[in-house]
Amino acid sequence: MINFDGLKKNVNISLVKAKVEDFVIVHAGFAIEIIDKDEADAIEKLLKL
Amino acid sequence: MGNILEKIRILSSKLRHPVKLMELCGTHSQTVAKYNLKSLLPQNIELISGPGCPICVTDQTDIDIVIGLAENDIPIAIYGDALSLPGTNSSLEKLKQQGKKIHIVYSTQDAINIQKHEPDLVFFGIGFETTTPMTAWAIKQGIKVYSAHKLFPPAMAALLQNPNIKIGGFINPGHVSAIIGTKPYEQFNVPQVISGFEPEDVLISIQMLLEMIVNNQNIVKNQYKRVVKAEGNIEAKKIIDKVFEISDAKWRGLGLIPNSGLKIRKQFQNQDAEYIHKDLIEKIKQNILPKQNQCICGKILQGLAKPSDCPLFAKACTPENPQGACMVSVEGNCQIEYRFNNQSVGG
Repeated sequence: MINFDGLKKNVNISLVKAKVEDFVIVHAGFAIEIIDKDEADAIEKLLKL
Repeated sequence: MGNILEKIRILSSKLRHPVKLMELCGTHSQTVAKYNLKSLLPQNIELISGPGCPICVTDQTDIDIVIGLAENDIPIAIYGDALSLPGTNSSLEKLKQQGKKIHIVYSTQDAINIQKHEPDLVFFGIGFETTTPMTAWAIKQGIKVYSAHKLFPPAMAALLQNPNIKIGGFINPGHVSAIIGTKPYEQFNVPQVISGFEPEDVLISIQMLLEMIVNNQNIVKNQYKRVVKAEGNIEAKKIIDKVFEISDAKWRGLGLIPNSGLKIRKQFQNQDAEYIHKDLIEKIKQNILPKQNQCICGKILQGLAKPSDCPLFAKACTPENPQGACMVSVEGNCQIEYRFNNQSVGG
């Protein structure tokens, strides 16, 4: 289950070793990469400015 | 952002000739158009859009075959943005309106769910390395597929071999690279930057390309490090390799490119629509007539023409009634131009 800033959707994680609370890039319903935690925090901060 | 633009301006003054930089990903082209980045660049830097929209480069024959399957009552699953792809005589959208079983899916997982009550369902697999792993995964789950999947680097090789296209540098795709990593690009003797999708990402990538051009460095750099790893997504590459083998493929605009397509391996041939429906497909192929219209999508995909050069653009050809593939997808060069830059729209 992925939370897209409030919108929640099931996403297939067969292609990544994602765990709960990871930030991932989603493409066509699949997580394709995990974003580094520090990077993800920095992006979130920027988006909320 | 002003800082980046200043650096770009200084670098551009060091260029001996005007340069053309090509965005290779439809999402980059959208960013460029949406934020009007071209207007921020010095005059000697031209941005051109390349063949980065997978729907646009899908060969007309593949489209006609899938439409033909649907006309023969085979249920089809397709990503929504490809629904209105015009075939020679019809489109899946028109067939859906006529009551044929066409299912729009968000992911191959949706297609698997539909297949449970539509056992003959065929998923139309379109896309580069970014969407191929999802199709491969679904094939392993038992779904049937018509594969028009393509590999991205062979298209870059084809562009570089065309003497009419002079590209100073490539803005390489972000999510294709998330799968394949940085290595496959090292074979190309041209400046390249793998870029993120925000306007700042694209501008930084342009700055990085200009630095390479000024310093005569023909290498690949990664601006999208927050997502793209040098080795790519190993799991995704493994599953593609398990299910698909490399084959020659026809591209709209670029023609036949050796070793640029992905064919379903023999081991999975009972899920390969090309194999299951081979007799029907032969019949469909015989009935395909060359399409007579003035669409120049093929040239646009290679950066040899602009959407506004086409006599159909924004007249007979609009996103609601596309005459060619470049107007179909939100990543298509013509649709992007229509939505963001066409002065005659919405006024």
